[in-house]
Amino acid sequence: MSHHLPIFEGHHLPVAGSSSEPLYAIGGRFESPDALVNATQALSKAGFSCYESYTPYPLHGLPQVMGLPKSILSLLVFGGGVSAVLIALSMELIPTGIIYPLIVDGKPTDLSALPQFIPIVVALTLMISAITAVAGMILLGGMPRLNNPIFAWDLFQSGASRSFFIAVESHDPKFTTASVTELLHDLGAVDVTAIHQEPKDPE
Amino acid sequence: MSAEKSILPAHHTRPVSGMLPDPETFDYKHVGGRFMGLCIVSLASLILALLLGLGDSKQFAFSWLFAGCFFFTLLIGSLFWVVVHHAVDSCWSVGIRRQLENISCLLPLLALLLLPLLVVAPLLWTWMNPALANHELSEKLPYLTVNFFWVRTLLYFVFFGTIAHMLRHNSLAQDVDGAAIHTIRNRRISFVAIPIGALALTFWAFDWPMGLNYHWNSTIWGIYIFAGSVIGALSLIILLANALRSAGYLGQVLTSEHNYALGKFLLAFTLFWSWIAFVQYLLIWYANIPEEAAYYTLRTQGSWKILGIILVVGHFLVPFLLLLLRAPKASAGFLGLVAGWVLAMHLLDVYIMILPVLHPEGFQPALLDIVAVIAIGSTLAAVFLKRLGDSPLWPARDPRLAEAVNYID
Repeated sequence: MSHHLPIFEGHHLPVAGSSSEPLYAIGGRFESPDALVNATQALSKAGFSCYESYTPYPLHGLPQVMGLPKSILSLLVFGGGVSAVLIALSMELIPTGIIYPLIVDGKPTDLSALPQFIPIVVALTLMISAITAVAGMILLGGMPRLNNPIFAWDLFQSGASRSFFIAVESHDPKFTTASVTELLHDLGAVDVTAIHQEPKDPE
Repeated sequence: MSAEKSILPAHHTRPVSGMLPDPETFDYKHVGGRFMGLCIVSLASLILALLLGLGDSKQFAFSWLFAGCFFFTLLIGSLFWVVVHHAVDSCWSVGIRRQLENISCLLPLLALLLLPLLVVAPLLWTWMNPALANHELSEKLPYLTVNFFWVRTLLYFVFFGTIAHMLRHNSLAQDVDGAAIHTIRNRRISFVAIPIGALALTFWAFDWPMGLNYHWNSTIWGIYIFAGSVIGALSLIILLANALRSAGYLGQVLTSEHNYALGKFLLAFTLFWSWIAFVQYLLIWYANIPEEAAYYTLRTQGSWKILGIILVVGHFLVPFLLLLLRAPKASAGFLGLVAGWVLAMHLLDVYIMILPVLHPEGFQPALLDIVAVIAIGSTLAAVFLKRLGDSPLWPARDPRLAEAVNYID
């Protein structure tokens, strides 16, 4: 594959962003999902903790090799659902049962006439659970966020929808430019690049 | 680094190994004397049912219909899973499909076991009584006539039995030659079977369980029966897969990923059944029209009400809450426990459909209820076991087998 750039040692790496700005991370691209999972596992074993694995679609087993704990999203959704049941029942029972009993068709207005209250309970439970799930996913995923320093890397910008990337961030305790570059190269990464932050707009 | 730099497209599929699992065939050494035991139980309970039935033919009629409806829904539910597997070209369920085919092919035997209903039918379906002539019945006359009823019943069994045997026949032929044409033929059969089968099951539900009270009607009844059938069959296949795995089979084709898929379906159909059951109750309760409400008036009085509450809690709340968690769904043992519970609740569901008509004053357990379930169940189980070794335990050369084995949820 002729388009591969040679790998240089140290600061002779290809550079993305502005080299006068601080180094954000060293990134590498992988050609298959399996290569990404294997490389992530190797990084994790080598003791790195501040890195990100980027994939265009969910990869089975990736969160496990990254050592990520189970998301609390399901708990949040359950909480949302339970509170929706309580909200719906009180919104129905307090006005029509206690404050202003509204007798329609001779039906009672308390809990003994539960069936008529259920459709609203179900609908509100579905809605609040769904909103909790979507909002929780966005917030737990660190969104909304205006920018990510990795966007300085052109290759990432153009390939994030179809390629696999790892970026080891420079604030990792084990981070040195030379060792990370060599490690990523050994793990089969191509296009290993030093990603610097982009210059801030002059105020 | 230029932005125009080409990036090779990533491999979006995991490599699937070309190695197919070695086909397994059931070895009767695991059964030992239990098969003979099952035959003895079957014979003894059939004779006992006959003796008890001669003493109390009305109780026998309702008990036999109860057991018959329970097993009919299980067999039809199994057939549904086979049909839907072929119709949507599913991959995950290849490993359990042969057992679903085996179960659904017990339909002709069930028809044979239900022959006593021919004798006791007028005790069950009171509209068959010629002395009973009223305006309401004459309005329903072209449909509710004895001959037409039995012709319809025959058609249901012939249709479902034929579809079940055609699907299994093609599946077995594929074990021999491995040709993909059998899969395509089965898909075409399934496309035809879905609309006709939906109508056939609906009309079966109108004729058999709903016909017990000819005043009553509910247009959602067919879907309610369908929901119960599907979840009952799903529980049955989970239990059967667990039994075969504990005997050392199916380990090559079923993993915890398949458990998780089965668990998700069990949760989904728990919700489906609950919603359909609730919708039927809500509309009848709210409209409060006498001929519609009669069904629930009977079943919400006296001790029947307690069974109804057990059904709502046990068929909806318990499995719903247990199956919400992720980890238990992937565990075969836990899933087996929930499936056993759901199957018991399906039995209760059918019980509440049939028996209150006989005992409107309240729940009255009868020995015949248990004997009928054991008699029909053990006979079906014995024949199932007898045929189990005739074919590989999964479709050995299905085109999607490799994909099914490597299925990841």
